[in-house]
Amino acid sequence: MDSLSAASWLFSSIIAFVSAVIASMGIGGGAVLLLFLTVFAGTSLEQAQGMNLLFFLPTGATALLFHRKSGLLQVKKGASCGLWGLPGVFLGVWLASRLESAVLSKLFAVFLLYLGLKTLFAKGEKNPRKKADAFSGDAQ
Amino acid sequence: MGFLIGLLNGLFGAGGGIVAVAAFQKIGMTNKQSHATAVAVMIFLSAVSGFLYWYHGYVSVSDVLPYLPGGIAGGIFGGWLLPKIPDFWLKKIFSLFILYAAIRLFFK
Repeated sequence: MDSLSAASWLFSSIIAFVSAVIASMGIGGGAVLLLFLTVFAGTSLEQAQGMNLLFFLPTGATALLFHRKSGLLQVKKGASCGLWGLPGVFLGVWLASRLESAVLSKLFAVFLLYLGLKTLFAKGEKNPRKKADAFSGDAQ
Repeated sequence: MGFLIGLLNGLFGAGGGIVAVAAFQKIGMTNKQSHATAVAVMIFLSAVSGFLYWYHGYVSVSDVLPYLPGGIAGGIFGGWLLPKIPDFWLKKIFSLFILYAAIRLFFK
């Protein structure tokens, strides 16, 4: 912390805040923090990924208290998914060190691209503000 | 399904949460339930991978400390905001982050 000036501490706190808001809503993991660390703070990718993982533990746990309170958390389904995920993580880390994962990464990227576009242009989801306008239009 | 999510996370370090949200929606959770439950799953899996990163010496706890006050404040705000944000905007923002993850993975 000593190496950080007050201004850069403030800036990194803002980044941390924004990153945590997004991560705690289950939107984008640590995309914001990772980008900041690797591009602006000059952190190596391994260190940035590790920092991001550790960062998420207390921030995500804080958000989880709220999610539980608001009744959104599905404890049973989440727990079974997490437990099954554990051997998956170990196998994934092991595979990553063995496989030439560049091709796999690109395949997965294409899948995410499809999922992202599908979500972005999903039908049946109307902008609530537009819907409100439509209602007021009907009323007239 | 959980196994697949863990596998993706370990292999690519990204996208596990995205697939978790999509999978939870498929088994009948609402949009917001899926997001909240995905956070729980990701905490669990991040604890394991975070430990591995720490164990291999890629990262130390003191690296993260300066970011925690802002992060915990953000966690509180995000926890408060999720039940309130309209599904429309949650989906749009989420889709942009999926696209960002895809691009990042593509040029990795």
